[in-house]
Amino acid sequence: MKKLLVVVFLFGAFACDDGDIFDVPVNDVDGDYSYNSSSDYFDQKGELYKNSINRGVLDVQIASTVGRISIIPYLGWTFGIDISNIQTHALANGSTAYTFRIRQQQIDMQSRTFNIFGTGNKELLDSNGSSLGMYDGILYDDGVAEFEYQSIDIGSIEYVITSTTASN
Amino acid sequence: MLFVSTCLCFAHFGLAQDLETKKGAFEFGLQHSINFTSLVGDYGAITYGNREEKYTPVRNRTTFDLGLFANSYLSNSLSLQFEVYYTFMGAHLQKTTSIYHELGKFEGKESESFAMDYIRLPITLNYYPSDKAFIQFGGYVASLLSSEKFYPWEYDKTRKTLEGVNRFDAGLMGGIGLDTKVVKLSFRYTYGLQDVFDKDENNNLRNSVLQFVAQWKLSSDLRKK
Repeated sequence: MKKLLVVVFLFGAFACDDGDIFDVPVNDVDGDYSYNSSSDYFDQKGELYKNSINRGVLDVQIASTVGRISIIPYLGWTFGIDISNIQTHALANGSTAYTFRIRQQQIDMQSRTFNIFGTGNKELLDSNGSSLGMYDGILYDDGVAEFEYQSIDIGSIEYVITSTTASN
Repeated sequence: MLFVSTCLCFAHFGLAQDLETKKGAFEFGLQHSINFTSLVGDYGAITYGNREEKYTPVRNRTTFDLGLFANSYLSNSLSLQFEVYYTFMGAHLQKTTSIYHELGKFEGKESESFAMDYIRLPITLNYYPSDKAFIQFGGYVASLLSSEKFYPWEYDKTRKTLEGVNRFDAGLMGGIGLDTKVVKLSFRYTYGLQDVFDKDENNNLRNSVLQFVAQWKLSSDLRKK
Protein backbone atom coordinates (compact mmCIF):
# COMPACT_ATOMS: atom_id res chain seq x y z
CA MET A 1 0.00 0.00 0.00
CA LYS A 2 2.85 2.35 0.94
CA LYS A 3 4.64 1.67 -2.35
CA LEU A 4 1.43 2.29 -4.21
CA LEU A 5 1.02 5.70 -2.54
CA VAL A 6 4.58 6.67 -3.46
CA VAL A 7 4.05 5.64 -7.06
CA VAL A 8 0.76 7.52 -7.22
CA PHE A 9 2.36 10.65 -5.71
CA LEU A 10 5.27 10.60 -8.11
CA PHE A 11 3.02 9.98 -11.06
CA GLY A 12 0.79 12.86 -10.01
CA ALA A 13 3.69 15.19 -9.48
CA PHE A 14 5.22 14.60 -12.91
CA ALA A 15 1.82 14.70 -14.53
CA CYS A 16 1.26 18.18 -13.07
CA ASP A 17 4.61 19.53 -14.26
CA ASP A 18 3.90 22.35 -16.66
CA GLY A 19 7.39 23.74 -16.37
CA ASP A 20 6.75 25.98 -13.37
CA ILE A 21 6.91 23.38 -10.59
CA PHE A 22 9.87 21.44 -11.90
CA ASP A 23 11.85 24.12 -13.63
CA VAL A 24 14.43 21.76 -15.08
CA PRO A 25 16.43 23.34 -17.89
CA VAL A 26 15.48 21.71 -21.11
CA ASN A 27 18.40 23.18 -22.99
CA ASP A 28 21.67 24.97 -22.54
CA VAL A 29 20.38 28.53 -22.92
CA ASP A 30 19.13 28.94 -19.34
CA GLY A 31 21.21 30.97 -16.88
CA ASP A 32 22.89 34.32 -16.35
CA TYR A 33 23.98 36.62 -19.15
CA SER A 34 25.77 39.95 -19.30
CA TYR A 35 23.97 42.31 -21.58
CA ASN A 36 24.21 45.59 -23.45
CA SER A 37 21.06 47.23 -24.65
CA SER A 38 20.39 50.25 -26.78
CA SER A 39 17.21 52.17 -26.04
CA ASP A 40 15.63 54.75 -28.35
CA TYR A 41 13.30 57.19 -26.56
CA PHE A 42 10.35 58.65 -28.44
CA ASP A 43 8.06 61.45 -27.28
CA GLN A 44 4.24 61.58 -27.56
CA LYS A 45 4.56 62.63 -31.20
CA GLY A 46 6.74 59.64 -31.99
CA GLU A 47 9.86 61.72 -32.43
CA LEU A 48 13.16 60.27 -31.29
CA TYR A 49 14.75 62.48 -28.62
CA LYS A 50 17.34 60.33 -26.92
CA ASN A 51 19.39 57.18 -27.25
CA SER A 52 20.80 55.49 -24.21
CA ILE A 53 23.06 52.51 -23.65
CA ASN A 54 22.24 50.25 -20.72
CA ARG A 55 24.27 47.49 -19.17
CA GLY A 56 23.47 44.80 -16.67
CA VAL A 57 22.82 41.13 -16.19
CA LEU A 58 19.83 39.03 -17.10
CA ASP A 59 18.62 35.62 -16.16
CA VAL A 60 16.90 33.37 -18.68
CA GLN A 61 14.67 30.56 -17.50
CA ILE A 62 12.69 28.59 -20.03
CA ALA A 63 10.59 25.51 -19.64
CA SER A 64 8.83 23.84 -22.49
CA THR A 65 7.35 26.63 -24.67
CA VAL A 66 7.27 29.45 -22.09
CA GLY A 67 9.84 31.24 -19.98
CA ARG A 68 10.91 34.40 -18.27
CA ILE A 69 13.78 36.84 -18.69
CA SER A 70 14.70 38.73 -15.53
CA ILE A 71 16.54 41.94 -16.38
CA ILE A 72 18.78 43.57 -13.77
CA PRO A 73 20.31 46.84 -15.06
CA TYR A 74 23.46 48.16 -13.35
CA LEU A 75 21.69 51.53 -13.07
CA GLY A 76 17.97 51.23 -12.60
CA TRP A 77 15.23 48.95 -11.39
CA THR A 78 14.90 45.23 -11.98
CA PHE A 79 12.02 43.86 -14.02
CA GLY A 80 11.03 40.68 -15.81
CA ILE A 81 9.56 39.80 -19.19
CA ASP A 82 7.47 36.74 -19.85
CA ILE A 83 8.20 34.97 -23.11
CA SER A 84 6.19 32.37 -24.97
CA ASN A 85 5.98 30.40 -28.22
CA ILE A 86 9.50 29.09 -27.72
CA GLN A 87 10.49 27.10 -30.75
CA THR A 88 13.58 25.02 -31.36
CA HIS A 89 15.40 25.38 -34.67
CA ALA A 90 18.12 23.01 -35.84
CA LEU A 91 20.52 25.03 -37.93
CA ALA A 92 22.43 23.72 -40.93
CA ASN A 93 25.75 23.73 -39.07
CA GLY A 94 24.35 21.43 -36.39
CA SER A 95 23.80 24.10 -33.70
CA THR A 96 20.43 24.91 -32.14
CA ALA A 97 18.58 28.22 -31.81
CA TYR A 98 15.47 28.99 -29.81
CA THR A 99 13.10 31.70 -30.93
CA PHE A 100 10.41 33.28 -28.80
CA ARG A 101 7.68 35.89 -28.66
CA ILE A 102 7.34 38.61 -26.02
CA ARG A 103 3.62 38.66 -25.46
CA GLN A 104 1.96 41.92 -24.43
CA GLN A 105 2.17 42.43 -20.70
CA GLN A 106 2.01 45.23 -18.16
CA ILE A 107 4.79 46.15 -15.77
CA ASP A 108 4.30 48.55 -12.87
CA MET A 109 7.39 50.47 -11.89
CA GLN A 110 7.81 53.55 -9.67
CA SER A 111 4.06 54.29 -9.70
CA ARG A 112 3.88 54.08 -13.47
CA THR A 113 2.50 51.40 -15.75
CA PHE A 114 4.18 50.26 -18.93
CA ASN A 115 2.82 48.10 -21.71
CA ILE A 116 5.52 45.79 -23.08
CA PHE A 117 5.47 43.80 -26.27
CA GLY A 118 7.94 42.40 -28.76
CA THR A 119 8.77 44.18 -31.99
CA GLY A 120 9.28 41.08 -34.14
CA ASN A 121 12.43 42.61 -35.61
CA LYS A 122 14.93 39.86 -34.91
CA GLU A 123 15.62 37.70 -37.91
CA LEU A 124 16.86 34.16 -37.43
CA LEU A 125 19.41 33.37 -40.09
CA ASP A 126 20.56 29.88 -40.77
CA SER A 127 24.28 29.22 -40.94
CA ASN A 128 23.98 29.19 -44.73
CA GLY A 129 22.46 32.70 -44.67
CA SER A 130 18.86 31.82 -45.41
CA SER A 131 16.16 33.45 -43.32
CA LEU A 132 14.22 31.28 -40.92
CA GLY A 133 11.72 33.99 -39.96
CA MET A 134 11.27 37.12 -37.84
CA TYR A 135 10.86 36.83 -34.07
CA ASP A 136 10.94 38.97 -30.93
CA GLY A 137 14.02 37.21 -29.63
CA ILE A 138 16.51 34.44 -30.28
CA LEU A 139 18.60 32.32 -27.92
CA TYR A 140 21.58 30.56 -29.44
CA ASP A 141 23.14 27.49 -27.89
CA ASP A 142 26.59 29.12 -27.97
CA GLY A 143 25.42 31.48 -25.20
CA VAL A 144 24.25 34.51 -27.15
CA ALA A 145 20.80 36.02 -26.72
CA GLU A 146 19.16 38.88 -28.56
CA PHE A 147 15.70 40.35 -28.30
CA GLU A 148 13.85 43.61 -28.88
CA TYR A 149 10.78 45.01 -27.21
CA GLN A 150 8.74 48.19 -27.06
CA SER A 151 7.63 49.77 -23.81
CA ILE A 152 4.85 52.37 -23.72
CA ASP A 153 4.24 54.52 -20.65
CA ILE A 154 0.45 54.45 -20.67
CA GLY A 155 0.37 57.66 -18.61
CA SER A 156 2.43 59.86 -20.93
CA ILE A 157 2.25 57.76 -24.15
CA GLU A 158 6.00 58.16 -24.54
CA TYR A 159 7.64 54.96 -25.65
CA VAL A 160 11.01 53.23 -25.78
CA ILE A 161 12.32 50.58 -28.14
CA THR A 162 15.07 48.54 -26.56
CA SER A 163 17.31 46.14 -28.42
CA THR A 164 19.33 43.83 -26.21
CA THR A 165 22.33 41.64 -26.96
CA ALA A 166 23.57 39.32 -24.20
CA SER A 167 26.17 36.64 -23.75
CA ASN A 168 26.91 34.23 -20.95
CA MET B 1 33.52 99.85 -22.91
CA LEU B 2 31.23 102.88 -22.94
CA PHE B 3 31.23 102.81 -19.16
CA VAL B 4 35.06 102.79 -19.00
CA SER B 5 35.30 105.62 -21.54
CA THR B 6 32.80 107.66 -19.57
CA CYS B 7 34.71 107.08 -16.36
CA LEU B 8 38.01 108.10 -17.94
CA CYS B 9 36.39 111.19 -19.43
CA PHE B 10 34.98 112.20 -16.06
CA ALA B 11 38.32 111.40 -14.45
CA HIS B 12 40.08 113.73 -16.82
CA PHE B 13 37.68 116.57 -16.02
CA GLY B 14 37.98 115.84 -12.34
CA LEU B 15 41.74 116.04 -12.41
CA ALA B 16 41.60 119.31 -14.24
CA GLN B 17 39.06 120.89 -11.91
CA ASP B 18 40.51 120.64 -8.39
CA LEU B 19 43.76 118.88 -8.21
CA GLU B 20 45.17 119.37 -4.75
CA THR B 21 42.58 119.28 -1.94
CA LYS B 22 42.21 115.47 -1.47
CA LYS B 23 45.31 114.23 -3.26
CA GLY B 24 47.34 111.91 -1.08
CA ALA B 25 44.62 111.50 1.51
CA PHE B 26 44.29 108.01 2.88
CA GLU B 27 41.52 106.24 4.72
CA PHE B 28 40.91 102.73 5.85
CA GLY B 29 38.39 100.80 7.86
CA LEU B 30 36.02 97.88 8.18
CA GLN B 31 33.50 96.88 5.60
CA HIS B 32 30.54 94.58 5.46
CA SER B 33 27.99 93.89 2.82
CA ILE B 34 24.81 92.12 1.99
CA ASN B 35 25.09 90.04 -1.15
CA PHE B 36 22.73 88.39 -3.58
CA THR B 37 24.87 85.76 -5.22
CA SER B 38 24.13 83.49 -8.16
CA LEU B 39 25.80 81.37 -10.79
CA VAL B 40 25.22 82.63 -14.31
CA GLY B 41 26.01 81.01 -17.66
CA ASP B 42 25.22 77.75 -19.37
CA TYR B 43 23.67 75.07 -17.21
CA GLY B 44 24.33 71.97 -19.29
CA ALA B 45 23.34 68.40 -18.53
CA ILE B 46 25.92 66.11 -16.95
CA THR B 47 25.68 62.50 -18.13
CA TYR B 48 26.77 59.46 -16.15
CA GLY B 49 25.92 56.47 -18.35
CA ASN B 50 22.15 56.35 -18.59
CA ARG B 51 21.75 58.85 -15.75
CA GLU B 52 21.62 62.58 -16.47
CA GLU B 53 21.76 65.50 -14.04
CA LYS B 54 20.76 69.01 -14.92
CA TYR B 55 20.77 72.06 -12.68
CA THR B 56 18.55 75.08 -13.08
CA PRO B 57 18.82 78.24 -10.98
CA VAL B 58 15.97 78.81 -8.53
CA ARG B 59 16.93 81.97 -6.70
CA ASN B 60 19.86 84.00 -5.43
CA ARG B 61 21.66 83.12 -2.25
CA THR B 62 21.70 85.94 0.32
CA THR B 63 24.97 86.23 2.23
CA PHE B 64 26.92 88.68 4.38
CA ASP B 65 30.60 89.55 3.99
CA LEU B 66 33.16 91.07 6.31
CA GLY B 67 36.51 92.63 5.50
CA LEU B 68 38.86 95.61 5.37
CA PHE B 69 39.34 98.40 2.92
CA ALA B 70 41.82 101.17 2.19
CA ASN B 71 41.23 104.16 -0.03
CA SER B 72 43.95 106.35 -1.43
CA TYR B 73 43.07 109.60 -3.22
CA LEU B 74 44.97 110.16 -6.42
CA SER B 75 43.30 113.53 -6.84
CA ASN B 76 40.29 115.40 -5.57
CA SER B 77 37.97 113.32 -7.73
CA LEU B 78 39.79 110.05 -8.16
CA SER B 79 40.76 107.40 -5.65
CA LEU B 80 42.16 103.92 -5.72
CA GLN B 81 40.50 101.49 -3.36
CA PHE B 82 41.87 98.19 -2.10
CA GLU B 83 39.74 95.65 -0.27
CA VAL B 84 40.16 92.26 1.27
CA TYR B 85 37.18 90.34 2.53
CA TYR B 86 35.81 86.91 3.19
CA THR B 87 32.94 86.29 0.86
CA PHE B 88 30.23 83.66 0.64
CA MET B 89 29.16 82.84 -2.91
CA GLY B 90 26.87 80.26 -4.46
CA ALA B 91 23.27 79.80 -5.50
CA HIS B 92 20.08 77.93 -4.77
CA LEU B 93 19.40 75.43 -7.55
CA GLN B 94 17.08 72.67 -8.58
CA LYS B 95 18.65 69.40 -9.65
CA THR B 96 16.70 67.27 -12.10
CA THR B 97 17.94 63.69 -12.29
CA SER B 98 16.78 61.67 -15.30
CA ILE B 99 17.28 57.93 -15.43
CA TYR B 100 16.94 56.54 -18.92
CA HIS B 101 15.66 53.13 -17.96
CA GLU B 102 14.92 50.47 -20.55
CA LEU B 103 11.21 50.80 -19.89
CA GLY B 104 11.06 54.59 -19.91
CA LYS B 105 12.47 57.85 -18.66
CA PHE B 106 12.20 58.49 -14.91
CA GLU B 107 12.70 61.98 -13.54
CA GLY B 108 13.27 63.21 -10.02
CA LYS B 109 13.72 66.77 -8.75
CA GLU B 110 15.42 68.00 -5.61
CA SER B 111 16.59 71.32 -4.23
CA GLU B 112 20.30 71.75 -3.87
CA SER B 113 22.43 74.74 -2.91
CA PHE B 114 26.04 75.43 -3.75
CA ALA B 115 28.12 77.37 -1.21
CA MET B 116 31.61 78.55 -2.11
CA ASP B 117 33.72 80.64 0.26
CA TYR B 118 36.49 82.85 -1.10
CA ILE B 119 39.00 85.39 0.09
CA ARG B 120 38.54 88.19 -2.40
CA LEU B 121 40.88 91.07 -3.19
CA PRO B 122 39.29 93.80 -5.31
CA ILE B 123 41.00 96.90 -6.63
CA THR B 124 38.71 99.64 -7.84
CA LEU B 125 39.04 103.11 -9.22
CA ASN B 126 36.52 105.51 -7.74
CA TYR B 127 35.57 108.62 -9.60
CA TYR B 128 33.81 111.43 -7.71
CA PRO B 129 31.70 113.58 -10.04
CA SER B 130 30.52 115.44 -6.94
CA ASP B 131 31.78 115.71 -3.40
CA LYS B 132 29.72 112.81 -2.04
CA ALA B 133 28.81 110.56 -4.95
CA PHE B 134 31.18 108.28 -6.74
CA ILE B 135 31.29 105.81 -9.59
CA GLN B 136 33.35 102.69 -9.12
CA PHE B 137 34.98 100.31 -11.57
CA GLY B 138 37.58 97.63 -11.10
CA GLY B 139 38.42 94.01 -10.84
CA TYR B 140 39.16 91.32 -8.32
CA VAL B 141 41.06 88.11 -7.75
CA ALA B 142 39.84 85.50 -5.31
CA SER B 143 41.05 82.28 -3.79
CA LEU B 144 38.67 79.45 -2.90
CA LEU B 145 38.61 78.45 0.77
CA SER B 146 35.81 75.87 0.77
CA SER B 147 33.06 74.55 -1.46
CA GLU B 148 30.03 72.65 -0.25
CA LYS B 149 26.57 71.66 -1.32
CA PHE B 150 23.60 71.41 0.97
CA TYR B 151 19.84 70.91 0.88
CA PRO B 152 18.16 73.94 2.43
CA TRP B 153 14.53 72.89 2.08
CA GLU B 154 14.99 69.20 2.77
CA TYR B 155 15.10 67.25 6.00
CA ASP B 156 18.67 66.32 5.18
CA LYS B 157 20.77 69.04 6.82
CA THR B 158 24.15 67.49 6.06
CA ARG B 159 26.66 69.34 3.96
CA LYS B 160 28.76 67.59 1.35
CA THR B 161 31.92 68.68 -0.40
CA LEU B 162 31.27 70.22 -3.79
CA GLU B 163 33.87 68.72 -6.10
CA GLY B 164 35.56 70.29 -9.09
CA VAL B 165 35.40 73.94 -8.09
CA ASN B 166 38.18 76.10 -9.50
CA ARG B 167 40.60 77.24 -6.78
CA PHE B 168 40.97 80.64 -8.40
CA ASP B 169 38.46 83.23 -9.46
CA ALA B 170 38.78 86.66 -11.07
CA GLY B 171 36.34 89.14 -12.46
CA LEU B 172 35.13 92.67 -12.99
CA MET B 173 33.03 94.90 -10.81
CA GLY B 174 31.31 98.24 -11.13
CA GLY B 175 28.85 100.35 -9.21
CA ILE B 176 27.86 103.63 -7.65
CA GLY B 177 28.11 104.96 -4.12
CA LEU B 178 27.77 107.69 -1.57
CA ASP B 179 30.73 108.86 0.50
CA THR B 180 30.45 110.62 3.85
CA LYS B 181 33.09 111.42 6.45
CA VAL B 182 32.19 108.32 8.46
CA VAL B 183 30.81 105.75 6.07
CA LYS B 184 30.92 104.93 2.42
CA LEU B 185 27.87 103.20 0.98
CA SER B 186 27.94 101.56 -2.40
CA PHE B 187 25.84 99.38 -4.64
CA ARG B 188 27.73 97.31 -7.15
CA TYR B 189 27.69 94.29 -9.42
CA THR B 190 30.46 91.74 -9.71
CA TYR B 191 30.83 89.28 -12.56
CA GLY B 192 33.33 86.42 -12.65
CA LEU B 193 35.44 85.89 -15.74
CA GLN B 194 36.60 82.46 -14.62
CA ASP B 195 34.52 79.27 -14.85
CA VAL B 196 33.52 78.13 -11.38
CA PHE B 197 33.85 74.45 -12.24
CA ASP B 198 37.25 73.74 -13.72
CA LYS B 199 36.75 70.35 -15.42
CA ASP B 200 33.09 70.39 -16.30
CA GLU B 201 32.74 71.04 -20.02
CA ASN B 202 28.94 71.05 -19.87
CA ASN B 203 28.58 73.79 -17.29
CA ASN B 204 30.15 77.18 -18.00
CA LEU B 205 29.05 78.96 -14.86
CA ARG B 206 30.44 82.19 -13.45
CA ASN B 207 30.07 83.85 -10.08
CA SER B 208 27.72 86.79 -10.07
CA VAL B 209 26.86 89.01 -7.13
CA LEU B 210 24.86 92.14 -6.43
CA GLN B 211 26.29 93.87 -3.36
CA PHE B 212 25.23 96.60 -0.95
CA VAL B 213 28.43 97.59 0.80
CA ALA B 214 28.97 99.70 3.91
CA GLN B 215 32.55 100.79 4.56
CA TRP B 216 33.16 102.30 7.99
CA LYS B 217 36.11 104.67 8.08
CA LEU B 218 38.19 103.93 11.17
CA SER B 219 40.80 106.38 10.03
CA SER B 220 40.53 109.14 7.45
CA ASP B 221 42.97 111.88 6.59
CA LEU B 222 40.03 113.87 5.26
CA ARG B 223 38.45 114.13 8.72
CA LYS B 224 41.64 115.69 10.02
CA LYS B 225 41.62 118.39 7.35
